[in-house]
Amino acid sequence: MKQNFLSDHDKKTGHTKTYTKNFKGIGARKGMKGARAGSVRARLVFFGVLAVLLLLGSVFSEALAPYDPNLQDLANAKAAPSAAHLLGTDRYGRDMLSRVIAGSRASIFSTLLLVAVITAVGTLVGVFCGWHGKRADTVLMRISDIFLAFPGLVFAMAVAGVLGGGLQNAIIALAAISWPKYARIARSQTLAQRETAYLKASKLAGSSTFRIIFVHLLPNIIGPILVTSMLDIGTMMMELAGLSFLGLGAKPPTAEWGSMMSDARSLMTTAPWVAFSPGAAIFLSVMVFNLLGDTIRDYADPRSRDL
Amino acid sequence: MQDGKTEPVLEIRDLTKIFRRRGQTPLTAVDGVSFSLLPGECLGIIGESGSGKSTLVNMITRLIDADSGQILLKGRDITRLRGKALRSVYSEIQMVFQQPADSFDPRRTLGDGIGESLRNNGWSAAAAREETAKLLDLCDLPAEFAGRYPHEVSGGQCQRAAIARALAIRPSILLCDEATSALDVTVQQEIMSLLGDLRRQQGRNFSIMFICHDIALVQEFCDRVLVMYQGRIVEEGIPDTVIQCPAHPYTKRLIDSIL
Repeated sequence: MKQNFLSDHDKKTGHTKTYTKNFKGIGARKGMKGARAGSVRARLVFFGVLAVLLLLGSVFSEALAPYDPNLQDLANAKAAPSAAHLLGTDRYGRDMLSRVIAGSRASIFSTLLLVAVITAVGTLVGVFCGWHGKRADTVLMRISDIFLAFPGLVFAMAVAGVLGGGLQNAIIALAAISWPKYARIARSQTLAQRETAYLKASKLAGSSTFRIIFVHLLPNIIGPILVTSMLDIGTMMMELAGLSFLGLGAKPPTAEWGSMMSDARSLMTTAPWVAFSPGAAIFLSVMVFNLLGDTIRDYADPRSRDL
Repeated sequence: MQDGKTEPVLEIRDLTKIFRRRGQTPLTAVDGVSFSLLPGECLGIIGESGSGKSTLVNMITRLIDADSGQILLKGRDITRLRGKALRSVYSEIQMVFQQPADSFDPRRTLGDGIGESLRNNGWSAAAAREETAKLLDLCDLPAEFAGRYPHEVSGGQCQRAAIARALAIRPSILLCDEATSALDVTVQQEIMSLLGDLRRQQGRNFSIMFICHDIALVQEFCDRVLVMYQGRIVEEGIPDTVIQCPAHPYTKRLIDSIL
């Protein structure tokens, strides 16, 4: 009965409906393109500025923190947010605002280092595979398949567990599982470019393979790789905090957002602000870097930039 | 040797390339090809798509490796050279590609591309820039083209720049692999007259191998023509003779299809 009614309805109005829909669609799309071109640039500036502010904050964290992040004041432990301690204090009476600011160095800097390492290593492996081909390509790509087949964080936990705790080992563990994505992208880009005339022309100009790869090939394939690494900053920040939360990252008393949240678990009912502030810090910075990555991807796509 | 007066600048002996793909019957792209290129000569190679012309050219420039046979450049076997020794070959052999815009790095200026062979051979940046301006002038392009990017110039201008790049290192052999096929007819004529001028200027120090599927261009421009069919050279001779009395059935078909 209902179905009948629906098809009847479609028959009656279907024609005019599609017509008006199409008509609307064209007008709307035109308007949207114009608005998007402007907004992509505006978004790029907005999130770029936010990301730079976060970076500056982490560089000058010592100067910005109102208290010594490791200074204990047991008389004032678990104090609720107040004028003296804007975000309250933790179980040892350490100022949470200072700890969140100090933690930005461990969290943001380690993440950027990690992303830089996996981008560089993955790209070099991928370019080598794509360029050289043959058996080395097969072997390295199967190895990367193995890494890609594992659930990332579980494998990172295993690696960090074997290496022992510490921020440095957490970075190594995450780097070990994250490079294959970049190797894949770089390899496919290299394969697509390898037979192009301009690389052949460079060879005919007497360029060494090293020069062909680093002067001609890399600048032409690096775009999508950089976009991927920008999008990865947020993910890596979260995974690094995750490892720290599990006790496989930064060691106490180092201020690091993940381990600070882990430390605050037992205080959730009595002093929820202790967990709230590092959580909010992770949430905000991951969001800023993710949106920045998204915006850069949109910007790098000429179809959304030029129209 | 034969006449005691002209040593070929390039000699190809029994060159063969077989493409083997897993699960497919091997494809013999070039099948025992032999010929020689004399100093100052313009040699045309014609044949349909897939007849092995481009494979042959890519083997001569060592962009792909030959399976058997020999490539002799001024009497020196270059068939298996690698690394530095191979790079020295490229100061004798240069090539102009079919798609002019694709043959320049999209992220670098035309001037960068033209001067690259010079800088690779030890020229200073300033000297290379000066020479680039001269080369652009030689190819009838204004000097400011050195600062342009490949997407900023037309196909004909880009192909002129490609010729300037090929000439930069003063090679004795220029391979033109369908160098005019992607251009429209009037631009084609300009490029051909440029190549003609270059031949007159350089004389016996400059040989051209002109790969083409346009018989009229070959007749107008070349001293000698090879006809390739299914990886073999089926006919060789002076263009007028080949066109007026073709000996091989394929050549007949090729000429009939045009006239």
